[in-house]
Amino acid sequence: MQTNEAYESAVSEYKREQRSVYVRIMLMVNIVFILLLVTLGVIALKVNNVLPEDQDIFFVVGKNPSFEISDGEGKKWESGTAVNIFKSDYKNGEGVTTVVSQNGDKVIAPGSKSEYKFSLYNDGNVAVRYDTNIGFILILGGKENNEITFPLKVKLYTDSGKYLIGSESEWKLISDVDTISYPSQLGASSYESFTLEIMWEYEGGNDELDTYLGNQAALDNGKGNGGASVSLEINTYAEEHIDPTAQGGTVITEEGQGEVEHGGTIRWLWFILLFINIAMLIFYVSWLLNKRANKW
Amino acid sequence: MLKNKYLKLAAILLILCMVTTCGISGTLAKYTTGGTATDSARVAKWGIVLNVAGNSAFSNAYGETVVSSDLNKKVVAPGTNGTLAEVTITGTPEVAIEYTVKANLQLSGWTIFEGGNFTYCPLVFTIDGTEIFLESGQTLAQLESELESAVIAALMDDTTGAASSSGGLTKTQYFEPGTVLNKSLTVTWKWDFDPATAPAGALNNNIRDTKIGMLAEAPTVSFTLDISITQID
Repeated sequence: MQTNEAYESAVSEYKREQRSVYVRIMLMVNIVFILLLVTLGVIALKVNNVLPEDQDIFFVVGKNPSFEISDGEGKKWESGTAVNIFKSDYKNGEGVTTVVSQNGDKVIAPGSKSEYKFSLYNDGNVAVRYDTNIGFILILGGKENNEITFPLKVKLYTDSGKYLIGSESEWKLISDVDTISYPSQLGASSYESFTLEIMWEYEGGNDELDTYLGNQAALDNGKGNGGASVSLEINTYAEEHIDPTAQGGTVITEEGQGEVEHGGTIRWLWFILLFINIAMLIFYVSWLLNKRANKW
Repeated sequence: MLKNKYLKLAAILLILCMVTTCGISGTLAKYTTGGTATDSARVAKWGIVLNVAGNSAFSNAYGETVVSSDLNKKVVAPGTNGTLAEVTITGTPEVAIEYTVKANLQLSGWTIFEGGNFTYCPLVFTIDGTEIFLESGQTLAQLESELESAVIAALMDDTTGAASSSGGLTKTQYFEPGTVLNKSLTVTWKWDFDPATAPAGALNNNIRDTKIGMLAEAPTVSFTLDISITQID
């Protein structure tokens, strides 16, 4: 009797020690599994930002980018779209016509001023970052001229009053802004409207140059002699923003439309599933080890 | 049995999680797009050609017959003549313009004594074939005004709205874009050597020519023609 009690006592003691060891192992394994799952989740979050277009994987919102530019006349910008920045006649501040093209061509002269409106639309579910720049070319006598500083001035600003070029009180010479890029960003389901103002100042301080340019224009015989013309180009390049939820512009609000579900973001369902996975794994491993321990 | 169901559910959920993670292996494709708007215009034509010659209206010598005693001073004398101004204006600007002409003839000291002060100016001015000269009873101011008006009328069709001042006669016109400018004018002067060749009604005679030439202070004549054409805003 005494021998059996000692044996059973030793066995119980051994079992208790083993159970303690297995409990510690169980804890370590659970921690490792949880860390592994969290790591997988973080990787998934990062990789989601580079999902191919329109790929919606159940609980990861597919990206649906959509970006276009159109002007106040409804013309959609593509590659080298011809628009109406210049005019064939201009009126002064009193409504009197002071510049008129004799053959219907678009013209520009000292004192002429015009504005051109265009809008950027991001109808997609990811934010975009975009660069805008203005290109200018002066052609004299049929050849591009980079020596003369043409007295054209510009301003570029949004409807909300943010100036990309110039300011409310300051015009920028076109030669000073030629080809400089102006970066900005536009949020998902948002738009931004711009106004480009151009002006050839009447009292620009260089009547001699103004007269020279006007006389060059008068010498144009259509055969490469004389002539003075200008060309203006507005370029906008847009690309997907690294943060699909970045903000910018004015949100497009439609009746009944809820908050935008940004492309590349993970829905709450993912986190719920992750939690369930963690819980089930803990339960599973614990149950296994407990079963193993009970055998002892 | 219930424990087996839980086990299977856990396994299925784990597999779903791992498959989804593996499925997120798309390319690094990034959406890009852009647009360009372009427009061009030519400079509006100016092209006004204004030629005004007249800086040699008078001279300090006329051949070998008349030579000023002071070569820095120009003179007039019987038998001398010259061109006060030769003007041509052409062009069709595509901008509105302000066109101003100011003519100023100044005659001073043309007074001799003939039983009293007698205004005598033998100069005959010709504008595009029309002769203008001092007539009997006419004052120098009237002669000046008559010439200035004739110049204005020749370059601006009439003198309506012209403003007179001590600086001459000035008129300004405004033209719309596309107005065709085509004006020309020649103004000459002469002092007939032989009074017989002077226009009928002129006061020329040799005695008066001599008297005017003997004045202690010689009479003077000057003519200024200012033409400006400016784009208006």
